[in-house]
Amino acid sequence: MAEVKVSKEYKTISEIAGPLIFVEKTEPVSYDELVSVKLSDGSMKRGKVLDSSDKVVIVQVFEGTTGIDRSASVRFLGETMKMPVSRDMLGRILSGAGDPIDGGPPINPEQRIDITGAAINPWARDSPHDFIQTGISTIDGMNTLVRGQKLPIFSGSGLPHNDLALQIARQAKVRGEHEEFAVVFVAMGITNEEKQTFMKEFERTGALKNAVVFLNLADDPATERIVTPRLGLTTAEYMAFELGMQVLVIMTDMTNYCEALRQVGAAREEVPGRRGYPGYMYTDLAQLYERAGRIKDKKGSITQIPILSMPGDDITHPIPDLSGYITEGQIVMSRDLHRAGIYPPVNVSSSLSRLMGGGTGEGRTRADHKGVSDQLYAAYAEGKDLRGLVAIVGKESLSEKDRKLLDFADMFEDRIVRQGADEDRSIEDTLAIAWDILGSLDIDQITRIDRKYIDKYLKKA
Amino acid sequence: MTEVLTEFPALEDPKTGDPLMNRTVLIANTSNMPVAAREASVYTGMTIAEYYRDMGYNVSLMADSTSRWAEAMREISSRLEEMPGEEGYPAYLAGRLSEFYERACRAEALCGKEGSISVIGAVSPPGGDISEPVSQNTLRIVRVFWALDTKLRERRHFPAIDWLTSYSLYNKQLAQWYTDEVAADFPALREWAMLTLQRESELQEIVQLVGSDALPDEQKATLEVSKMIREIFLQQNAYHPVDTYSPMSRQYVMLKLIKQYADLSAKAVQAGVPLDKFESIPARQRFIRAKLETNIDDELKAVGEDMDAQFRALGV
Repeated sequence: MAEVKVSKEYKTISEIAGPLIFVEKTEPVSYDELVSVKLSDGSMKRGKVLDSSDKVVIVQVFEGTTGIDRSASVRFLGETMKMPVSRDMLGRILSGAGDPIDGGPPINPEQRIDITGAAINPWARDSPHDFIQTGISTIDGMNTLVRGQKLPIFSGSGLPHNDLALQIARQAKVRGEHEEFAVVFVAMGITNEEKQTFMKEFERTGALKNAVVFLNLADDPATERIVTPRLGLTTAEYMAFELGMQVLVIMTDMTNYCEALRQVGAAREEVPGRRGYPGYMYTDLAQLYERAGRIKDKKGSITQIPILSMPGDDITHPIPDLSGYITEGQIVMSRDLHRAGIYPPVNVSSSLSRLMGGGTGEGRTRADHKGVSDQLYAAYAEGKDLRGLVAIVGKESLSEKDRKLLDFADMFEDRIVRQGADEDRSIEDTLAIAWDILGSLDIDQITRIDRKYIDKYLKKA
Repeated sequence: MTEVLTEFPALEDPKTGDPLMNRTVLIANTSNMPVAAREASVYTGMTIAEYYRDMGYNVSLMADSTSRWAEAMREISSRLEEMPGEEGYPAYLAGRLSEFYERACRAEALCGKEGSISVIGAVSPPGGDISEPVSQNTLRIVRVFWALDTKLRERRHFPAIDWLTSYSLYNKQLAQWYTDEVAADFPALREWAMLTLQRESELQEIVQLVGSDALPDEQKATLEVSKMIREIFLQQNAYHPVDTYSPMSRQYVMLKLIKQYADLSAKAVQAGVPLDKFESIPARQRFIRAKLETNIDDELKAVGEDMDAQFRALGV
């Protein structure tokens, strides 16, 4: 054991407000320092220092302040929050505060790591360009995911984003390589039912043995939610950069995380920013998202898929807006496609993967990939525009070419977008379908693809 | 950011063939680095730019993105508990923005040489809505505006610069330069192309109501011409070795060819040649594909001759 630091116990709580307690007349304590609170009935709670001044120290209590009274004693532990990590964490289920809740033994740490992490020097980062095949056409073909990328799913309540995330976790692989693969699953404020779905799915597919699961459910304290993703990412960093694993981090739901930030901000009486969210939310989110990536000379990588449900499907809401600034693209879910019974309901037009250029093409996917994907985008967009027109003037008044585009849009949704929840398409499968439906267009409507690929792959109907 | 750091050194200067990095300074502040450093980073960049300007260099400074810079100002301002202005931004936002942009200049340095700084600032408004304070305050200062459009992005039209909303107030000043350096008729060609695109957007409104079949042939031909301007001239593939860089001389040839097609097709319409007859001429296909060929300039030349011949064959 490390040396035990002797520290004073303070019984000087002057105020309790929401998730915060105010402690008076302390010796100097440091920012973010870990705190333990002993209640009068002997039970313990943990928290961290949010604000430190010469008179009052503000402590945020992870488990909530219910039951704390002014006679409770507060001890400052002299260190910031650390996460015990070990290879044996794979297959374990932990609470939002990092304690095992699967009935198993406590984690025997190989290392204890600060949960805030350190910003990676941009120069030390390696640029992500290894194609991850998710087996989902709308992602592989149209919005390619690469190792080390952070690609959020922008969704709404009632849309099957969790199914999509699960399918990605299940099917994602880097082709031709057999490397250790791990999933860190961070649940923030999700419902018990969602949790059950995830757990059942992890067990069914055997993914649990390669996963570390952090669960902060909807009825767990909101303040704990602020720590949960940091614990998850610390674990991921350990596995990726110390153990050399390829780690996929799924964080759901970021909206709940931001709600928790707002709650704490309000309790501290901070000046609220947009829609009441704290002004530092951008920095705070960046501290999470920027922990994805690859580092030069290290084998492992962290790929992040944060899921966030946009309140009122509003993409300009501060949460998706700020996330979009930081992440490298987004997968947007569409309510219209979902209503039309199409799974996965990915709105291809507004989705984007900024790192697609580096992860596709000769030697990564296939030389014709980029052109094909541009062509699909262009033709689908034109076909969708025509739908609006057809509603007004009818299909008859369209030209022959326009009619082809209109049919193309339907085919695109039916064959590229729609696929089974267990259907794992290789990139070749996806491109084959793409060429197949491109065959329905006139040759002069295909303007984005190099001649040589058209000659090679296009089969005319 | 990593992308920029690894890709920049690999980039080649299209004019000299040297690594672009030889004349580049990168200042990196990623979003998880301290917010105060982010607020400072644009000033760091500008100061370095001025240092080179004073040595007589022509410097171009790219700030990506000023919205994040403003976001940093907002964050610090709220930490300082300052009275917030519009949308929580500090009241001095407009002042800071103009102080920054006004450092762009062309100046005579003390060493007697002339140097300049051109500033290209990226603004990324939430949801693409430019009515928010950072965009609006920026637009009040700058003289050139390139509006990136999500609709164009969705159909993978890159660069996604909206040709109708974007503007440059330097057109008049540059007219002489175009005449001297490119071709005497370039300013007129440019104007014609803009007019055609403007006309297209008007016609599109009608098409939305009645369908394209209801338009007379002459207007249908205009739509085809503007489509050619969009697909051949405006659209470029940054990943294609040839298409990624188009020198002014080639841009001129392209526009000129499109104009040639427009004139010929107008004549054909008057002569009563059916639309699908001349729209399907092989020269047009060849023109659209020419961008992707390595011998593009020869191709374009051939397209011009083909076009004439094929229209002649139709009796125009």
